[in-house]
Amino acid sequence: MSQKKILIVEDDIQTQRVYHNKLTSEGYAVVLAATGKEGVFTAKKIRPDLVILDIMLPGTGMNGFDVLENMKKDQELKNIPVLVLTNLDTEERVAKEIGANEYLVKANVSIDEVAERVNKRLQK
Amino acid sequence: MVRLRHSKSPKGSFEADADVKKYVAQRLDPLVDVLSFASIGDFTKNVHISKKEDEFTPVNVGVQVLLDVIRDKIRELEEEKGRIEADKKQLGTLLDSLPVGVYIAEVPSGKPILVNKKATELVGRSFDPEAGVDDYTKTYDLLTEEGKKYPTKGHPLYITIKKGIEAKKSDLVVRRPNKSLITLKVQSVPVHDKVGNLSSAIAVFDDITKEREVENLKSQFVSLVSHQLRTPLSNMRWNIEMLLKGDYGILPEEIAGVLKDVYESDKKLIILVNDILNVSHIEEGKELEYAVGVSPKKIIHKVLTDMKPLAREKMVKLHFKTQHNIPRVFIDPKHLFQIVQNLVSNAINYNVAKGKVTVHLRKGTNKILILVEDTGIGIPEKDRERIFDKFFRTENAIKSQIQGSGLGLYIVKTYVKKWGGNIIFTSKEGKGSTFFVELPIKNHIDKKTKT
Amino acid sequence: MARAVFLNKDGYIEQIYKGDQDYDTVTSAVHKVNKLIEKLQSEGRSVKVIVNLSEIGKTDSGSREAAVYALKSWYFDKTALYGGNVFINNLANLIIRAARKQKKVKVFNTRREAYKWLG
Repeated sequence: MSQKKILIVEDDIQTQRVYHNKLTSEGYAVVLAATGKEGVFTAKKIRPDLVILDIMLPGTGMNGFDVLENMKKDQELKNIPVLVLTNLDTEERVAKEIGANEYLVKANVSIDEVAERVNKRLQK
Repeated sequence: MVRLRHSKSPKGSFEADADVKKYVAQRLDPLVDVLSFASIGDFTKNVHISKKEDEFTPVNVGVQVLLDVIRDKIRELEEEKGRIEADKKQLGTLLDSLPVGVYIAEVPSGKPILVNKKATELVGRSFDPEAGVDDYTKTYDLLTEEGKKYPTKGHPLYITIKKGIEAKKSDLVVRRPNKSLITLKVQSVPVHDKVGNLSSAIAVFDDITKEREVENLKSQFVSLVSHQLRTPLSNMRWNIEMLLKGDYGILPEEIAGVLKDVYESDKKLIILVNDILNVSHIEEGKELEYAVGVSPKKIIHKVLTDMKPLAREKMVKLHFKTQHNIPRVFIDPKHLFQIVQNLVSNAINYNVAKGKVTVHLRKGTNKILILVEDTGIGIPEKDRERIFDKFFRTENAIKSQIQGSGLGLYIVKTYVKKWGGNIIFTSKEGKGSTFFVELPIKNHIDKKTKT
Repeated sequence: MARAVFLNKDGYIEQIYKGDQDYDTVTSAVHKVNKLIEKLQSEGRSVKVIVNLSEIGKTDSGSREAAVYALKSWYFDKTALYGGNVFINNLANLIIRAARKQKKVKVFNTRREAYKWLG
């Protein structure tokens, strides 16, 4: 299984599409989850090589931090690199404390940069 | 007249006989009487001074004078006590008229010496004279904003009493007996005596429940805005980036051109939203910073790369001149990026066609110097004072039809000052401006991270 | 509370204390005496003081303190007190003792005796 899997936890459909298009063109298999619960469930199921995680997720259920915490508590998931991609600019410290590897503000980075970071993490 | 008779005794010694002894005792008796009353604190008796002077008169007068002095002193003390009581009462009246709670604590116990009416009202209970600094949380049902028990060691009075310094907290929640909750801001100060020892501590507290609510709403609003506004903006950005890169196939030149314009507009909107959010964060004072050692060279490179399209559009040339071995600066990289970006963006936007922008990076003593020089419209003399003011735009900037929010330099100055630096500028209207930013280098700053 | 301080015809500094005395009344009298002492000194004359206690009233601890201080700090050759009753005279002796001026300050019953000693 040489193709790397990326799990994207993001509820905005347009954003999901861009991630999908860009990252598949970079050669990755992209799996999408639209809620926190779905994210954790899918992560456990497919054990991705990298996770792209939004913070604000729909409903009153889990948000991105909850997903991250869950992953870090799970033996099988805790070493998966997590890139937090959000439009909130005040949560970097919290995110990194819970264990996020990177924190990027979507509006302030180009899609190429996102791809670059993913590539670096997966050492392509 | 009593005759003194000596009995035969060895040279130098004198032995009075029984009569003499009896006489002396008799004469001293009234004195002893008065002294016995004095010994139990009754100073109302007097010594009788006979008009006829004899050997006992000096002692009698002396004791009488002594009693007078004691009575004088007692009276003085009573008067002083009366004055203190009156002062205390006056203080009490003053304190009760204040709209803030006041609690004067005994040191080191933390038990109350004086508490005003508002304090009792705010806390919803009368203050327990036996409750010291370790009992506050329990006695007054103090909670954190998350609803947990307020940590004893976090109470400002605890800090003041243990460390003798001022302390302030804005996150104390009191659950009153009727179960209602209010949020208090508590400030405590130490009071020292003449020799410098801590003699008492005074805490002042204010009901900030309303303000807190407003702050929370604002916070929520800001989060919402940043998320809701930025989501479409970032989507547009990424999609256009991919289109322009050719990820969906080669685009005809004309279409690519149009898309580029859309892209630039989108970038401007993103910057505007960033500015607004920055200002909102700065003003709340609740900015979260994540400071590390940053390479100014890298940041400037990044900004200049980012700004290439804008420079091309405005037909302005970008130059970067740097010395070697520039030391790292202790700052939040986002802030340094913002500082440079705002200055360079102004330099480009307010420039003339075929003008140029030069960024210089130099090292000084314990600091680095960033200069942003342009050949633009310059800052008129009369606007120099206000150039860093929030929302201020110069007349010539407004006239130029160039889009701007008036926030750029305000943010730059705020960030520069925050990290211990300084900013000045020189300018000539019609010729150009140069902004000089000084920032201290990494080793010279104590780590400052606010929450 | 009136008191008088003046240089009398015999060249002595004369003080008359009338009525109750406190720290302030004694201190102001002492200031006046100081001025006269300076005058006599500048003229090279001997400084002799005579104090009339016949009309003195009550004294409080402040007045006595001031008196001791005065006796300790004045420059003079001799000071004679007279006219007081038994209590006042003995009190005066206590004060003189406190000031350690037993040789230079003496208490007499009559003005005549006082003058005689002043010489």
